[in-house]
Amino acid sequence: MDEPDADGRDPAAAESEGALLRRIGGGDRAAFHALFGAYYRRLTRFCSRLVADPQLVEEIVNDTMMVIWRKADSFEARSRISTWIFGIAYRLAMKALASRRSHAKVIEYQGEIQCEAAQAGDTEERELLEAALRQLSPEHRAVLELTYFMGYSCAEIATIVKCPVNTVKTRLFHARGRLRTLWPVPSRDPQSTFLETME
Amino acid sequence: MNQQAASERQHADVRELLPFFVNDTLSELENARVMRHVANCSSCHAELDEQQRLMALMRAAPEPPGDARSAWARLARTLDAEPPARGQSRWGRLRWGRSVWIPGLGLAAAASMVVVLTPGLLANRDSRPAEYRTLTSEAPSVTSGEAVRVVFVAEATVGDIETLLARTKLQIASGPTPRGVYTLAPAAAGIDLQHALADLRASPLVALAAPAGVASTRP
Repeated sequence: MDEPDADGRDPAAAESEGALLRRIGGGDRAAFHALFGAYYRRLTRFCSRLVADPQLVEEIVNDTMMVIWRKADSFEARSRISTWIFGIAYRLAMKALASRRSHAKVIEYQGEIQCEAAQAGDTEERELLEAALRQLSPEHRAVLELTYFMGYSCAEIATIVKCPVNTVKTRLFHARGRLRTLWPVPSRDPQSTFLETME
Repeated sequence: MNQQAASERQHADVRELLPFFVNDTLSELENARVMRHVANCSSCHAELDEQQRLMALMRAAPEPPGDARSAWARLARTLDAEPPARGQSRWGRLRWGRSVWIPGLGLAAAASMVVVLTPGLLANRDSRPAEYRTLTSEAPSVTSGEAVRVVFVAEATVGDIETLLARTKLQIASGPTPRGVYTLAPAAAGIDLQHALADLRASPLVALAAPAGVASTRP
């Protein structure tokens, strides 16, 4: 299934998403299928970041798509379409977590995080990061994912998680602080790395 | 002292901006502010480096399990079980109590739908002033024996339904309900509802047609 880059940054993609949404509002299943293809993986990944249980992730993605199907004609374009969609997924995931807290509670990391291993190769480092992320609250994981993986602006994240911009900043600050204690910074020369990225 | 406070504030501001500097969503002005500060602040250098490392690793994370094809099949089954409520047929965008435009609908057809006369008024049209109802008006009250309830198939287009309504001399009195049910009333006095009902039942555009129940369609 094709998965066009439809995050709204590309005007053509955004226009195409708008057209899809209008058709979905009219009950067009082919358009719905196309939008599903564009969002399925990203929604699955986002929900997997918030919820441990893969079956619950599947349900949330399914429910998110059904909300889109039913509400497409009420989308008012006050935000990007992707922001609207991830906002729906976020709220459904948080609701699911609240109602199934005992089953889908924050993923527990089974084992100790070895500080010295933080200097190992990328794969190992990534595994340590994943383990550290799982120890954060879903709200903190959500803002980290939306910022670093999905690349949303602060205002867009505020729209998705329905909170003030300053709350997003505060959540990020605390998430980063907590992450720092679980996922130590390896020793490297910050000046040289920064300069490399500026080139 | 003031200079130190201003410097600390600037430092804190830049720290808040760093995640969005890293993900490239800041304005040019904010970007410039971050770069100016970071060039002279070793602690923000280190933090920036750390956040870039974090972003690179998060973006390199493997895809979670999930098969789009089987997920779509499941979703399609859910859709199949879903009644064609609200906008899920092209006709469904028409809702009483909401002002909507129906693309593709001719002016004459739109006018015929916008103006709906209640059966009571139709029976007494000579003695009472005509009452016009728009899509934003409340639906006319329809009582037992004066109306039929219909569910159209999802494939039915506005044009198809318009033709069917013209043929059966019926008009939409209310609907759709959340389950996609429309209540149709005679468009003029003297219409044989039983005949219209049989016509509707014979139509491939109609999934279900039945006489309206005993109770009024509106509370």
